[in-house]
Amino acid sequence: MWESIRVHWTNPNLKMLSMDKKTMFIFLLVIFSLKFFDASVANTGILKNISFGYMFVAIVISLPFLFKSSGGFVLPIQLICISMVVSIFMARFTWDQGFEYSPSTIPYAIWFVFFFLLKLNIPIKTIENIVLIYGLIYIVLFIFQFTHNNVVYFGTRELVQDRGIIRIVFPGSGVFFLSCFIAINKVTSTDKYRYLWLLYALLGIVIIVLQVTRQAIVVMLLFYLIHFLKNVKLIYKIATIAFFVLAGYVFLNSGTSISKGLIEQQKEDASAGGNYVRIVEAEYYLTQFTPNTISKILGNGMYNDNSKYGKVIVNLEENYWYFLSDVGLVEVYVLFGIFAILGYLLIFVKSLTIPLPENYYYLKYYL
Amino acid sequence: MIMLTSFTSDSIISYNFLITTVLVLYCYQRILEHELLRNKLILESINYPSEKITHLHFTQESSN
Repeated sequence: MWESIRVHWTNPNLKMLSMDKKTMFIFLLVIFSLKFFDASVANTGILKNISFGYMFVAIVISLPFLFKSSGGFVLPIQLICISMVVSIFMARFTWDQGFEYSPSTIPYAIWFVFFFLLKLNIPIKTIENIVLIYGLIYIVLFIFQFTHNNVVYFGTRELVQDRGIIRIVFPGSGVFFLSCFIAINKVTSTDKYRYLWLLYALLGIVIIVLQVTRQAIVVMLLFYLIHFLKNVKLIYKIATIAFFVLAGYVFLNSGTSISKGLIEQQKEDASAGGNYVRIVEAEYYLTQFTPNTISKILGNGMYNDNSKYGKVIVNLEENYWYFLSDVGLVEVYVLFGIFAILGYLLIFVKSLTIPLPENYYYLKYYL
Repeated sequence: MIMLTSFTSDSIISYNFLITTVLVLYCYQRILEHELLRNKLILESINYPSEKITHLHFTQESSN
């Protein structure tokens, strides 16, 4: 009997069939949770409903595994998940937002899927491949949108001249960043296709510069620099620093519309001082927005643009330019409360303190 | 990256990043569990040398 069971599980066809289902599940989950890179055609109608439906099913089938694991990142993610469930009731309690608006929380509750992934036990290599495929799709779609900037195909922002260029902050950049970090990891850890990975990593810098988001450019270059300095001989270390300094100098003094736009924006923000928009926004949301003590602990809940609560947020964004999305950590606190913040802080601390093999440093860079 | 940009952007919570964050944490957790299991096996093989071969052999077989 044991022999037959062993044969069953080691049968390559059966193994492949089972693996394909798991891979397909993750592959679809990524594209649905990215809402097809915020494609205009997927923002309404059947594609939107399919995306929400798929995410909802994924969350529901993950629920039974919420308390099945322990150690590592399990507790922080449990804290975040529970905070999200509680926040649905807080939106009702504090802002009288009906439960019919609760589906707004679904894209954020994708955290639950972490526990189902642990159950599925998908190889890390498969996850890497999925991320790289979506990274490539991101690049292709960005180039398409960049070269067809008279129509908004992806994202909700109007495409206007900003920082010296028609600014396209392309949605779904998580997979793109991660794929770039995988690429730089491959450059130093494998001999196979090394130059191809280097080309991918360099293309990543070009794409991110074309999006003219200063902090994304700085953070990406910083991690590239850290990675290459850590893994190469002294002579290459000097060459890498010299290359980055020279490339930065040449770019900033190139007189191109992009470099001029970035420099002007930087000067503008620096001169704002204490009136810098993000400081003002954070101060308002931390001190004046939340109406009662319980919400200050458990959060206000996720808003739906069509509810009374959602209209308050939309009004603050449109008339006062107080964007919650400008101040990430504050947004987490305002929406999901202290325990979600605690969960995030634990994740950050653990990601800094738990060691990783060199092949997987890209995980650290992403976090 | 997420940590550094969490003060001035919504990368920490935006659905543009969330699924990738979950995948990254899953990979991290798996590596962590693998390392813990490896350390446990090494410790067991030191403490109970006679069981070393059987235990490690089983692990090898199941992973194949």
